Amino acid sequence: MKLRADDLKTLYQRSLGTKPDGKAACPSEDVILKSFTPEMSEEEKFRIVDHVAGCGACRSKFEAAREILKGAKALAAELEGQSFSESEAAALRQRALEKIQELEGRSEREKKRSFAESLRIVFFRYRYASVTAGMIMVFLAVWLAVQSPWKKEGAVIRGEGEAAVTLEAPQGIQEKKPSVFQWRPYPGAREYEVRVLDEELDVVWSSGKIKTNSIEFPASLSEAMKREAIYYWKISVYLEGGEVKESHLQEFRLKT
Amino acid sequence: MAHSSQEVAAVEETIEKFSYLIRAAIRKTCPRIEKLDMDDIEQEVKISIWKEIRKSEKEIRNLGSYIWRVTYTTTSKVMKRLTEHRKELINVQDESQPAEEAFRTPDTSGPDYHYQNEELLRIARESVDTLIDSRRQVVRLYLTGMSADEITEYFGWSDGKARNLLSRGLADLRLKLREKGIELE
Repeated sequence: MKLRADDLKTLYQRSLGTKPDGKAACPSEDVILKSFTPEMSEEEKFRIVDHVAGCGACRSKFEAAREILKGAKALAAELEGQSFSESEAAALRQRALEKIQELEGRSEREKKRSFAESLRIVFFRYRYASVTAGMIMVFLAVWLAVQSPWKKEGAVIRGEGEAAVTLEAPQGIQEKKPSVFQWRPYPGAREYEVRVLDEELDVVWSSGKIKTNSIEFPASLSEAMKREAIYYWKISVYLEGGEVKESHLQEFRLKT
Repeated sequence: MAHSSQEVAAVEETIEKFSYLIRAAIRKTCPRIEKLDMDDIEQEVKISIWKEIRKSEKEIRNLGSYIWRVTYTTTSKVMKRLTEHRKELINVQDESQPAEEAFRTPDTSGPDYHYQNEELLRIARESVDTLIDSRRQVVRLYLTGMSADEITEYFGWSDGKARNLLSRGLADLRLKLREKGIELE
C-alpha cells in the first residue's frame, strides 16, 4: 500500500484525535506555554511533546498556544525598537484606564442585553396586557414627578472638549508631596467636590462640597500616601439647575 | 480625549490585531465554540492586556518586547478559558465518547475517504511512537503541522539541527512503515 507524505500527516493527526484525555497528570497551561520559551530545558520539552501526542486535551492547548504565540511574535516585531518616554508611558496608562472602564461597561451592557432579549419575547406574547400596564406606569411616573417636592440631582455629564473640567495640579510624578488641589473655575459652578482614588479606583479621600476652585492637600492624605503608588483625583462640579459635571481621572504619584 | 498620540494609537491597533489573532486561534482549535463565548473571551483578553499595561513602568524601553511579554501573559488566560470550555462540552458520564468529538481541530475533522481503517491509524501512531528520542519528538511536531523552522525555534536549536533530525526521523519512519507493508512516498 502506498501512502503520500501529506496523507501521513492527516492520518497521524486523526490518530491523535482518537486519543482520550490523558490519564497521566497533565501539565498546566502555564507549563505548556513555557515550553515555547527558552526557560524550559530540551528534556522537559521532549516530555511535553510526547505527552501532547497522547492527550487530546493537552494537544488542543498546545495548538492554541502555538497559534497565538506565533502571531503575537509577528505583532511584537512590528513595534520592535520603539520606546515610550515617561510621559508617553503615563499617557498609555491613562488610556489603559479609559479602555478598561469602557470595556467593563460594555460587558455589563451585553449581559443586560441578553436578559432584555428574553424579556422582549415575553412582552410580545402578552403584548396587549404589557402595553396597558406600561401606559399606566408612565402615567403614574409623570404624575409623581410633577407632584414630588424633592429636588433631584440632574444627570451626571462628563464634559469633553470645550465643556471639559480642567484639572491643573497635581499631575504625573511629584517630587514632593503636593500642597494643593487646583483646577480651572468652571462657568456656572455652584460647588465642587474633590475625590482621591487609589489604584483599585476606591475612594480614599473626599473633600465634601466646597465653593472654591482649589483646596489645600489634606495632611491625613499626605501621611497615608505610599511612594510610587498610583493615585487618581477627580472633580465633581455641581451646577445651578442641578446638573453635575465630572472631570476625567487625573493620575499622580510620589517619586521615591 | 486628551492623549491620542500616534504611539498610543499604535499600541491600541496592536491590541486589536492581537484580539483577532485570539479569535482565529480559538476558531481553529475549538470550532464548536459559541459566538457569545468567543466574544466573552475576546473581551476578557482586551481587558487583561490593558490591565497589564496599567502596571507598566515609568518608561518603556522596547515596545516590541514589552507587548510580547503582555500578550504572553494573556495567552495563559486564554488557554485556561479554553480548558474550562472543553470541560463543559465533554460528557464526563460517557467515557466511551472520545474527548476530541467535543474539541476537534478542523484538520482532523475533515473526511478522509481513503483511510478509515482503524488498523492503519494504529500503525501510523505506533510507528512514530517507537522512533528514538529527539527524532520522535521532531517527527511528531512535523506531523502535527510545524515547519522545520518552527521546530528549531520551539527547541531553541541552531539552524540545521531540526532538519537533520527530521530527515533521519522520517527515514526511520519510512522503514518502519515498509515493514508493515506501507510505502511512504
